[in-house]
Amino acid sequence: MESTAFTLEEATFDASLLPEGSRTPGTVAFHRAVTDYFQKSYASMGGQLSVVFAAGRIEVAWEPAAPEPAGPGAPAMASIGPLLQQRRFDEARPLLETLLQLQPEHPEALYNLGVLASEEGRLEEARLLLRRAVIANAGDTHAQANAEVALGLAALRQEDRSEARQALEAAIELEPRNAFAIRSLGSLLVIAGALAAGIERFRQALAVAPDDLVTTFNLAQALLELDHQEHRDEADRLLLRVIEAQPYGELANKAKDLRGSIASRDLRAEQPDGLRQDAVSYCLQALQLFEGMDQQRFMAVLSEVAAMGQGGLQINEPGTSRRLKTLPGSWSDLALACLIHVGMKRLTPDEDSGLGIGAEYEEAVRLHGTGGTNP
Amino acid sequence: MPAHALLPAVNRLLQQVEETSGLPVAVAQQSDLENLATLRPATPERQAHLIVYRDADEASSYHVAFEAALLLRIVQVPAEQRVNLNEKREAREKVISQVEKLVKGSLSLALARKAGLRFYDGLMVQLRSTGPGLWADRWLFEQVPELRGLQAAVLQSQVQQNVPCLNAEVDKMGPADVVKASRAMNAAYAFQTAELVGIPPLAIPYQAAGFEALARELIAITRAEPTTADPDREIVDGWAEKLGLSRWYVWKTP
Repeated sequence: MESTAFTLEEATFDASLLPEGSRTPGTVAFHRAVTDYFQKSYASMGGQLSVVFAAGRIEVAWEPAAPEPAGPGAPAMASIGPLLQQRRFDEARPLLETLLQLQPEHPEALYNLGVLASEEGRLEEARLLLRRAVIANAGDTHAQANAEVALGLAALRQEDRSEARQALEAAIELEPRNAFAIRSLGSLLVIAGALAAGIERFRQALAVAPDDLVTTFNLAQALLELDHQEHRDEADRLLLRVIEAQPYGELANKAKDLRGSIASRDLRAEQPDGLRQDAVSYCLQALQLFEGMDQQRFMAVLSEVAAMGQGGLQINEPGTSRRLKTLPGSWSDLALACLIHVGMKRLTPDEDSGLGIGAEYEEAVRLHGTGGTNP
Repeated sequence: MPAHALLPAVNRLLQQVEETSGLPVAVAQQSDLENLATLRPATPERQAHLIVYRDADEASSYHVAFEAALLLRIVQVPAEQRVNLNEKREAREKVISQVEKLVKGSLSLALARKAGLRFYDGLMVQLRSTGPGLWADRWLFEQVPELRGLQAAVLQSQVQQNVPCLNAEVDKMGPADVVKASRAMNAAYAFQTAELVGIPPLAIPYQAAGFEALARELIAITRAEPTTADPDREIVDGWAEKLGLSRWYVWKTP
């Protein structure tokens, strides 16, 4: 329990909690009984209790037991560790700094201060601390590998790929199954343009930690970058795995966006030199549908379709067929993509949906304007 | 850096909401959100539920789970029976007038009115959210034990933040019945948290201030078997009755 402090009017204290004969506010017996009540109430928590009576008020303050003095180091880290876990960095930092003053090569203090500095963008300072942490942690393979990884990431953030690579490779040498280190090295290689080598590392990381969704996403992204056509199916499967395992949040959104771009590219690949007539037809159908629709119903349809589209659309899969709550019939993914695009254009004419059907939409608008029918 | 992810238990809960309501749930982070998390159930115009949370930290998993638990109850109320809590003009004006009297001479009439409005609105939000919130906290404690560690940290922190409401200065600023009702609701929150996390001293300030009996009555209301299709409304009405707030609001269809 964290420290707590509050003030009560003596007159509002629940006198029924006190022994008879000591229930009159302002009396010595009352003060003694109230103090006794609070002491008993907080006894199970240890720590320090203060009960002060002033101007008709009771001021109560309770604090947990003070942390062990930093000496051997381990007890101090026992109280700093939870602060770090709870991301209460402002409270943890001064304690770590004090610990480091007392023990200049304290391995955990060096590591944690280095990581904090790195997170806060003080990269030069971070690298100095983490280099010392690597040395101070010699003898503890896991801790040393972690320090190497943190050093690698700090160096990478400062665009020093040479030290980043050296540190990450050292971490993997210490701990060949450190999936985070392997993944980080993969990212570094991808950034450096060594896509095939990066992909190899991502596969290695996934072999160690098959459920790591960040690695799964990174692998998909790198595969698409290396050769979209060749790796399209594998990348799509990987992205779908990310979305299925973690359907909400930032990573899922990134995966959905990437699937959207695959779909968009597929669309163009199908008809590289001209318009996809099926898309023109669906866009025209959507224009006609939305034209006679009031705004409330239009928003209901668009939000349902957009929410469905977030899961990724397989616009080149002729077999896809979905049902909507807001519209009758069954809809292919390409038809849904066209509904989204046309709906988005109605809301924000200057924005593009990113679905890659802008040209088909323009053609549909032209046909619609001339009173044309489906091509 | 790896993207922040919701815990698997929370994703399962969100899927449960989607299956129950037949509509998708979108979860988004918004750094400038005033509250820790908020819920926007689907409307005829927006066919998706939205849960927004503020901080991209581990605790956000609990905040999202909490909103999802509330949403799970809301979507089970038949659409035609769903109602919103709305202000009652007379009650609002009474609070405003009380605050105007309290701060007469120290605040302009316009500011006093604004303060009065804040007291009234704040109390209505607290009345609408705390009782169902207690239900949700306890439900999550029982149904999603994987979240208990996070839950303990979040609830304790909230109890600690509420404690200053007992300070005597608060009595000078707000109408007595508003302050008392608000403290009683905070007391219920503290007593339930003390029970869930197994730290009885969390509720000591409220026990000392004489709120234990009322707090336990309020908690009992949140645990009673519902008798209508809208259990949250039952809780709110039950709490309002105990707190003397029954005539302070009306239920209206959206």
